[in-house]
Amino acid sequence: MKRIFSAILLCGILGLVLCQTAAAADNVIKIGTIFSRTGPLANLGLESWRGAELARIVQNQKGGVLGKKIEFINGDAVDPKAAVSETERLCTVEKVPIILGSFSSSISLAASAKADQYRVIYWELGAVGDQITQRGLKHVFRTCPTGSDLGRDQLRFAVNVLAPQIGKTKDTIRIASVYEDSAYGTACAEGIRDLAKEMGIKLAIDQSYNFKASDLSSLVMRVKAANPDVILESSYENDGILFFRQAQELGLKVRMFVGSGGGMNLPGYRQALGSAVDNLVCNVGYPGYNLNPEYAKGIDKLAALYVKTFQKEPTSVFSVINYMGTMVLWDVIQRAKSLDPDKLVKAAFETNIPGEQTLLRYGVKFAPPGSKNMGQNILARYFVTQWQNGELVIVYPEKAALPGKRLVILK
Amino acid sequence: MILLQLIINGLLLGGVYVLISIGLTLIFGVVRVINFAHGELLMISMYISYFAYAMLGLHPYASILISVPFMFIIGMVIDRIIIKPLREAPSYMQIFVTVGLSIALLNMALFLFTGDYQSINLPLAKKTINAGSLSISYARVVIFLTSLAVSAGLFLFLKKTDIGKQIRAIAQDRMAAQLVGINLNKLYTLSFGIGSALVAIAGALILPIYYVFPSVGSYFVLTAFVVVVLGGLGNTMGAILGGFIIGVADSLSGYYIDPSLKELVYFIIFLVVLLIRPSGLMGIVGAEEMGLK
Repeated sequence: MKRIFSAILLCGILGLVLCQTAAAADNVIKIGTIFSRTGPLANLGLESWRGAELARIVQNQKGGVLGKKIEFINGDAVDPKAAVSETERLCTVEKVPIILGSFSSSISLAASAKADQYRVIYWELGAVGDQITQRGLKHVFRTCPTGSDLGRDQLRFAVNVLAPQIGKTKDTIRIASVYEDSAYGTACAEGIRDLAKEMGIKLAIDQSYNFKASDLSSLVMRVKAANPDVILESSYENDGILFFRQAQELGLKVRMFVGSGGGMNLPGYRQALGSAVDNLVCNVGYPGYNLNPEYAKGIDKLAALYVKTFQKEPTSVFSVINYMGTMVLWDVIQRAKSLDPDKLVKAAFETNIPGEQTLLRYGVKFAPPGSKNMGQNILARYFVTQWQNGELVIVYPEKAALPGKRLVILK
Repeated sequence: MILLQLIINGLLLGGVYVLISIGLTLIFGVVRVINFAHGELLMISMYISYFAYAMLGLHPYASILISVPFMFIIGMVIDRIIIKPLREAPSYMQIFVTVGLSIALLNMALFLFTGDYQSINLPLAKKTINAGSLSISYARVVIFLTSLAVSAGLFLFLKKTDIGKQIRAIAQDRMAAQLVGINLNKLYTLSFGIGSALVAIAGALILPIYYVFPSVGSYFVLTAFVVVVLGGLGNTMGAILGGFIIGVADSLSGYYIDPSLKELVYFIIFLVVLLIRPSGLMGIVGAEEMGLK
């Protein structure tokens, strides 16, 4: 009798507990995340995740989405192989409808392909590899700009912003494209080449080099012979330093170097070259928190929230763009009114957010099904910073710059 | 004018290669060990000069006073402990052991100093001599002149001093040298030490124009071998000639052909010279395979 009584009590308690968890499960929406939380990319992987996490907190403060709070199930992708197995876990065990990621292009490529197989939406917030949105996978979307966009924005900056300020036009400005010959530099240079062709611009020189070279004097001589006004450069840190140094040694003088953020926006670059780079080197890339709050509305509140949530100052710019992309996702879910993959995909392709309404003031509109870069936000673009007095200052778009800060061009 | 600038660039670059390779020509030429850790000897020298600057505020050129004796001892220790036990072993064993040494030194540096690239910001490194439209980097001229001075010094040492003559004898024919009573082991160790000390000079002078990181050696070691073999093993004049030929070829082909193809050009020159004259431009004909079989 006692035993039966205990058994019934146990079942009752178990039933109650299960009901509770089931009820609790009904009250939250679970979204997966794939970032490098450990391993060599952990520093910037976590920084990227923090942007998404801030967006989750902000949206939950507004009541969540579809009337429910948002919870993250975080996957740790140390490398592409781990990314795939974590994605499997998120899709099959945790059964998330959407996954946010990833900072690293190779991790994103692997994880998004796996998610697409399970009809789980993969929402890429920060990785730039062009191929991520060139595989015709209908569940993969990217809110940030691409690697070749880096090159295109370098060229646009040179032609639209620098040329008028140095008294040149689109047809008279002499532009050099110099790039390291691995995947990064080649992607940027492609972007420059494509857009130059479209705009009818002939590059003064279009030259690759190996980033491991111990001497770049012949490269410098070639660029010098082309007599450029502006150099569009895609370099890592050390080849960037070597190129600049040898350019100084050999008397290669230009009005501006425009980097694409590989190594030329790192503190080590400025440290090695000193004040010689100030007002002479710009970088196209993601913006950080030093945006004008009049332009990027809410950026100061976001910075404060970062410090409050993570108990430290931001160590990089990456959380900003990841935050913005995640906020767009909440809008898509609200419009889809459901977590069904087909409804989400349809709502995503219907996205048409004008620039005025986003934090970074560029709009969101994904290339439609059937286009070569289906799922890519075609309105995404980069910002331009300039080394001034040892720090990177946002200079373009002009309105994004902090009051008193503007592009400086030396005589 | 561009041609003149290119030739000057090439000679200055050649100076860098000569300075790095002069130590190797002694080690490779005399001890006949293919020292794959030569690049790491350069790396260690650069780190010594770097830390002397960062921690003691010592100018890299002055740090030679510290790094040269230090590397001299290190070189002798390496020969004594690592190379000597394998003197009679087939040459591929010696290669394995120097490759192993190279990996060990590289990873130890990675562990101790992290993979970060370190460079120093010397005002000297930015100074250039401007003659008309020609630009000549001050720091590179120092390297160029030092490479000539060091080569001349080594040449005189080998020609005039007793020990130098013994070393040359070993490089010519080690069997005969032994037969006339020359102590091979002692001189091998000494050569290794001197060769390493010479690399220390290179490290100190290159630091202002380049940067140091654990793998920096691997960027230079291959070119150093090309210079040494091209010039002729054990021959200092040959090393100078080889270094400058490589430097000028690098500079001219990088400009007139393509910067990505410049290594291809000097490797082709290297192959052609060896096909015609296997002992290198100024090597001792017939001695090229000695000790390497």
